[in-house]
Amino acid sequence: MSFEKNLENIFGNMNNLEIINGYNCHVLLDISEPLMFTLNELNQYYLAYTLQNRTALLKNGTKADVVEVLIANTTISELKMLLEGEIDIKDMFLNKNMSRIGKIGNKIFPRKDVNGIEEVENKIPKTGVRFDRTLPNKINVKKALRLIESEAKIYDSFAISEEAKFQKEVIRIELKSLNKKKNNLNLESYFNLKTFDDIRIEVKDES
Amino acid sequence: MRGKKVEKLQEFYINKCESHSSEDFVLLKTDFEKIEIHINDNVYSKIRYLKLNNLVRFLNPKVNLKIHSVPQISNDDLDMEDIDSALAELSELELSSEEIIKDSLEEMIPLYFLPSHIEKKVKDITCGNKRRKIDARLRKVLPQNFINELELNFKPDVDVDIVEYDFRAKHSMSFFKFYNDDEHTECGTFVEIEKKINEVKYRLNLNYVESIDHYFIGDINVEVGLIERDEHEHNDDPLYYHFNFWKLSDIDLSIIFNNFNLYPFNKEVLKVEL
Repeated sequence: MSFEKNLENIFGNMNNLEIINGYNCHVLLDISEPLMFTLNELNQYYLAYTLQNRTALLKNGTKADVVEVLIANTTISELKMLLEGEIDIKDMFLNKNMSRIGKIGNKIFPRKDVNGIEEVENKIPKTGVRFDRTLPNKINVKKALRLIESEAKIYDSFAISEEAKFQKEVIRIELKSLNKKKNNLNLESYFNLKTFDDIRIEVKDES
Repeated sequence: MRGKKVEKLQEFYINKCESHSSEDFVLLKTDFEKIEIHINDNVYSKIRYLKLNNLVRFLNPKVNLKIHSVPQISNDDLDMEDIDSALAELSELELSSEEIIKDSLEEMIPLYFLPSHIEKKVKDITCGNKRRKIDARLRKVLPQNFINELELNFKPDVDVDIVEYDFRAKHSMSFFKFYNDDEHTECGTFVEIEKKINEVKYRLNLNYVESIDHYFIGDINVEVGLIERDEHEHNDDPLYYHFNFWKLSDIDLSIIFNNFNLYPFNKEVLKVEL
């Protein structure tokens, strides 16, 4: 399932923890409704924060359900620091590539880049708010962190890391030079191969 | 004092609850199931109450059926591609939700005092699109005109479930209670409680999240069920505890909500430093 499709499904079920937990998503903060959750595409992690979740009643006799979520790139080590209460929630969104995605009524609007924290500052927790005993939260964050970390290990074991990519390149070059040598009939010298005659001589010497 | 409280609880278990196959337990019959209560639990038997004052119950507007029945804005009215332009347009048209919450209070108040698991089932209808195979127990919660209007279809009735002791919290009604600096001096006036709630809302900047916009403050001052505090505080600063409450099935819910008053959250607080 694509990332965007996943987000749409989450939007449709913002008030149902069990359903949104099913979409590769971990809710981290819940104060009478889910406020913050993680999402991932394999080993790329995102942190999402609910900027709006409300119903606007309109003068023309209709209503508009409004959901708006802020999304920023993150890493497992940052999530660990966040959930262990070492950094402010706000700092998770500082100097990050961020975007907002929202739904009004039944319409999902295109994702929009956020150019700085000032743009969303009045809708995210203030400086000093972190996962400590002053943050009311229905979620057991220790358990959430354990789950996220164990899932990340699984993704890691499948993913091709930067280091592995480099090693792959080295192997490719070596294979290339090997083929070249093979073509020049230098196989013996490259592998330091012995001919049957050499072996026969060795056996003779030992006897 | 302590002995008197224990005595009262014992009386409650004997007179108001049903017996259990084990002597350590009783069954408390609520409107929806029978809850196992371990009467000798070392931790919880000390933090159980029959009456408590200054309890806070948050109002979840998502269960308001009046708001639910208002038609959703059509996509034709949202022809712009930029969300900010759409939001700007909405703000021109927007009414305060306070009025509809107040106007519909009398009719909706029973829905604001539901156990968490039943409230969730109502939200599956109002926020999700569940219309079929609905838990039959919701028949006694939802008004008939709403059932007819949405053509809700229910599952067949089932026998009353027994909820295992370890799962009791999920089947309770949630309340909170705020304290001053230590747990011995509780917040006893609306002004004190409001200040604490505003503090949470202010710190988190919850301008556009409506689930703690309105709340009730009141007392449970007659024996209508069992109240149990969580072992640990829900939050340290401001200090408050979460309480589970199981109402006895033969008590009318109005006896409880008639002792609670609705308060609005003061949005002005977000504009000034506390």
